[in-house]
Amino acid sequence: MSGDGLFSALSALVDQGAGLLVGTSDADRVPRATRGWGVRCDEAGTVRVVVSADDPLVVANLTGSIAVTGAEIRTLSSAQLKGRVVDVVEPDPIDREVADRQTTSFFDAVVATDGDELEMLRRLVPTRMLTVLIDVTDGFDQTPGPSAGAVLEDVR
Amino acid sequence: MTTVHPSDADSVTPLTLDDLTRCYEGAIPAVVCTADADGVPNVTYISRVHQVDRDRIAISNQFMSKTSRNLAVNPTASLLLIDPVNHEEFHLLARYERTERRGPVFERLRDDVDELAEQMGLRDVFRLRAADIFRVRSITRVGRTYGDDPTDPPARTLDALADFVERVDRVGDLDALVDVVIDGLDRILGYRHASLMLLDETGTRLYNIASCGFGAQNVGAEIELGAGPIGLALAQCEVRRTTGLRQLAKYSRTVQRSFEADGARSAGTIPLPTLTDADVRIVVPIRSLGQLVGGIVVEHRAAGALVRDDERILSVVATAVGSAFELARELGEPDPGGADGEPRPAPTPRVASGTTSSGTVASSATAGQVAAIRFFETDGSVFVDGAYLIKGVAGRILRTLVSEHAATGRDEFTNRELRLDASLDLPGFKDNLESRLILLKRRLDERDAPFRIRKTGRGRFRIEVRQPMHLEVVGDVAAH
Repeated sequence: MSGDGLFSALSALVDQGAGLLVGTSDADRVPRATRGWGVRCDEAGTVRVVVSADDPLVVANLTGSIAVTGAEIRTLSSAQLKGRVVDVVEPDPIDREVADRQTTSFFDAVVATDGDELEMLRRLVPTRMLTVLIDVTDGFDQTPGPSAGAVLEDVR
Repeated sequence: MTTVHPSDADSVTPLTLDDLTRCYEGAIPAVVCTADADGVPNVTYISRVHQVDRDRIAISNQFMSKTSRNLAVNPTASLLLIDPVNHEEFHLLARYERTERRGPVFERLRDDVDELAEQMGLRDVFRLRAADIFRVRSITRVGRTYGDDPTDPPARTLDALADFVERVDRVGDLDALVDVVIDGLDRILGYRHASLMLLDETGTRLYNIASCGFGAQNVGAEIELGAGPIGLALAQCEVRRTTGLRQLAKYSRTVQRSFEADGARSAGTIPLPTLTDADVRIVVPIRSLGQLVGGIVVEHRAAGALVRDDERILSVVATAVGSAFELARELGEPDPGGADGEPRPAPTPRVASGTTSSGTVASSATAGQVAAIRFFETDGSVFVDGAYLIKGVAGRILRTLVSEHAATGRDEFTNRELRLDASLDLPGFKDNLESRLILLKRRLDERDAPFRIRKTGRGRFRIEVRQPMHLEVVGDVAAH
């Protein structure tokens, strides 16, 4: 399963300005969180997530299960995709363009909604990024409220 | 990237939980990541992380069912926190220890959830289920060190506090006290967005007597004691600083969406003066002789602009105001031996329920457009040219004064005669009349009403009618 159907639930949020979170774990099941900076679905239907490579423990964890959550800044509507890492590569030009655009949307939404200064937000941008190719298997509604955790249907 | 343990004194950069104080304000949501028995991670935002002690943190367990299930089988969590002032980011690796459903930590976390529940109007259904306690194993700085930001708020000085208290101590008049308090909060102590509320004569509602920094003062805005975040804090007679208000508001709107009604506001109310984009608020009860008499509310847009020291400063302020308030109220009463204590004949009788009466007043003001004044018997509300002015005791006082002026031309009144007027429904003990008169005076000034109240002596005042009026009194059956 490539996950492009489930991806649509996440991309709808990201287009509105969403924060991306990435969850990983090591061989001992110790979890490690980091931030994502861009997400797209390529022509082959593979979900590609641009993640921070500043944390070596996160980079070391990019071999097994992975979770990617997008939370729309204005409404907190959220979705989480889960799957397995199939490859880790340097971001290609499209990844970089998508990451730039989605980061801008994310920061614009935070500035407009929460009043943070753009210069301060830019401090969060990592110095190095990697693209993680993911075979998405599941999707969940993560919006705060009684429906949090509900399974998202693959709409393909 | 450096990793240090919270208690490691030998570390070069000994980051401790105490170093992350601003991260616990809730201004920027934190992130928690857990993994299940197979190592499948789950990552989500959480509204806030609370520090429990120098080695432990707590997070509220609301809708995090997957996180809870993961912790039950794999008690390790990874968290990301951001300092809201300089945006430095920190990674915490923590081990889940226990879940608490009572006790001081649970109570602290419950304040947050109560605030949310009050914002949503879901006090009975939205409750904190549990507080999950973690022992932090390591703290790692993510990215660069930026240090403190120059926009940190200036510290309020003891000199300023002493100046404020001295000014309050010199005031013997309630109306002047209200001015001194609001002006002092604003100009001496630098609280640019502040309001002063007083408890009404029934002890169940609070009304705004003055404010600064909110555009309109909204004198007369009311809240029920115990309802809403402010009413709840004052009902519990506690100083309460609430941070991360913007995130709380956003979170509550998201959760509330399915419960929302149309949200239309009644025509006969005044909204409480608040900042729509405030990020931090402090509510401080004002007490006199141990009894709640009102409250001070200050807000700020910037995260971290109101800190714990401000709670202490405002507690001193509230103590000074409470004492001065009681003194001013006593001094505002008429001199028992003086002529101002003489009661006048009972004012104009009320119209019977279910009826409407009206007439044009040949007032002392003969020039100008005729103002249409409508009094509603049901709740004492008063409308001027169709616009809501005030209601309750203050509205009934106004009706009495204007009707008397219309009937007899009299413009001088005393507090004592109002106390003898049964139509005002004043309680026999602690009637709060002086405060209500001040409220009425300030509301008339704020709304540029066609009549004003001016204090003329101890327990005496004058009504000034500035333009002709057409009075209409609507009985109980009338709707408005």
